[in-house]
Amino acid sequence: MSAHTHAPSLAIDDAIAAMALGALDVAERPALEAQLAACAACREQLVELQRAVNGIGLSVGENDDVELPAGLRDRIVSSAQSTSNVAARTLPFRPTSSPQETPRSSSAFAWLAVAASLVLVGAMSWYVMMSRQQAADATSQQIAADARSMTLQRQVASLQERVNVMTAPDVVSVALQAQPDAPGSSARVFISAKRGLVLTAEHLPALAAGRTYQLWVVTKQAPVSIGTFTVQSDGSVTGVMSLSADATLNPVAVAVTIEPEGGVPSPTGPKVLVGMMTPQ
Amino acid sequence: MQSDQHLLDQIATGNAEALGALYDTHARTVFALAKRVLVRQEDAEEVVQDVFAYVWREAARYQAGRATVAGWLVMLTRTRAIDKLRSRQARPDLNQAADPAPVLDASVSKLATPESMAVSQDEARRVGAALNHLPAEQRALIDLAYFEGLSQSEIADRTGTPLGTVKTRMRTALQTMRTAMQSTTPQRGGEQT
Repeated sequence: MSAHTHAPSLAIDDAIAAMALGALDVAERPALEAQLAACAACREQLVELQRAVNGIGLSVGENDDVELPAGLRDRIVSSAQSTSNVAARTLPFRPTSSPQETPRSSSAFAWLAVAASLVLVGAMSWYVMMSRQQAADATSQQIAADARSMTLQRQVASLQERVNVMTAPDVVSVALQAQPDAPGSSARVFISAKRGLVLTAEHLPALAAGRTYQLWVVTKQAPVSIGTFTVQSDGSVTGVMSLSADATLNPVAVAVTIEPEGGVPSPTGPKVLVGMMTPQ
Repeated sequence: MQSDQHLLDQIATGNAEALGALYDTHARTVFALAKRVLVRQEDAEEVVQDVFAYVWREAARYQAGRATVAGWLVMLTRTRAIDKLRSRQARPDLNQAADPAPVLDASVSKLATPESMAVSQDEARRVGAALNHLPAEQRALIDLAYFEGLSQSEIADRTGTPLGTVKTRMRTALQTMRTAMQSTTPQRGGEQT
């Protein structure tokens, strides 16, 4: 298969069909990806076949006679009610320190970051209290102070979440190394199977419209998506993300890829940061 | 009944009852697919919980007007179910050993885009009907790939079929389903929600 061919051929059709089903052998994937990059008709063909593949799954619900487990709905709703889905979804803050150290300094970095976060938590808590006092002075000031107070409360909550993860007994620190698509970038993640994941990254390049960064924990079984994120204008990001059970099963690496907006179930785009996990 | 997009908007604001409403609409599809892949009731149930927990966390990221919610849920379900099948060897009627996949290359679905998940219920019905009318040897390949997550080489090994034949049959089967999906679709524009 030639990467420079711009129209599907029979062999390429075979590979595209396999790709749509997720059945393409790994060894054949680079050649097809190159082909897809060069061939708009091939990409369109892939999307159409993927839609048909998706239809297989949708049709199962209509064809199979199944009975939903009793109580499952209540368990799902109750679990949701007990877990905030707002705080961990976005990564709105600048890093609290500059993680430019080598992997060997991960412990020192962790404690510096924890200490900095604790100081910030204290300072912001105080500021929240002061904001509330100021809010009592006048209606207009109250509105502004309330808004400021709510923002700060969210920041405090997020900082506390970070500290909670970084001080977990099972926390593991992983330094991510820049890849050719994002030279100069750096990142570190703190992973606790029990408490979640903290990501801190710097100098990531701005992305084209319709693209997003996606974080993965790569297990021995498969890469597991942790979530997508955007960076600030300076390319930095810090935040807490939750871990699914799959992500804690034999993790071997952490990676950041560039993906279509909204993220994808499995990595497809270039890897910009990669860090290998070593036994602790 | 509220639209899926409205429910997702509500879920994104922390409304757990909206998640319940989305469950009411789609849980049967999610559970049926998970059970078809995993067979065991408890494993399928766990996947359903994982899928809706993911929706709860990531509802704000869903792209309106591209993937259908049902298509998105199917993609999430299949990915998780096959991950579980591979990692825990959950399917009791198979002797296939787990085959740890290479880093960043082990995926159930490659290059999935929101557009690829934009499939309507009518289209899905036509795909399902076409699937049921495939020649047995083609149907078997699709089942092994879609419901068990096997690669073409693995299917060739499992069935004793030459790899080239596997590739040809897989392409033919998918093209048949694609044609069926499109056959009575006058236009694509109205199907995306």
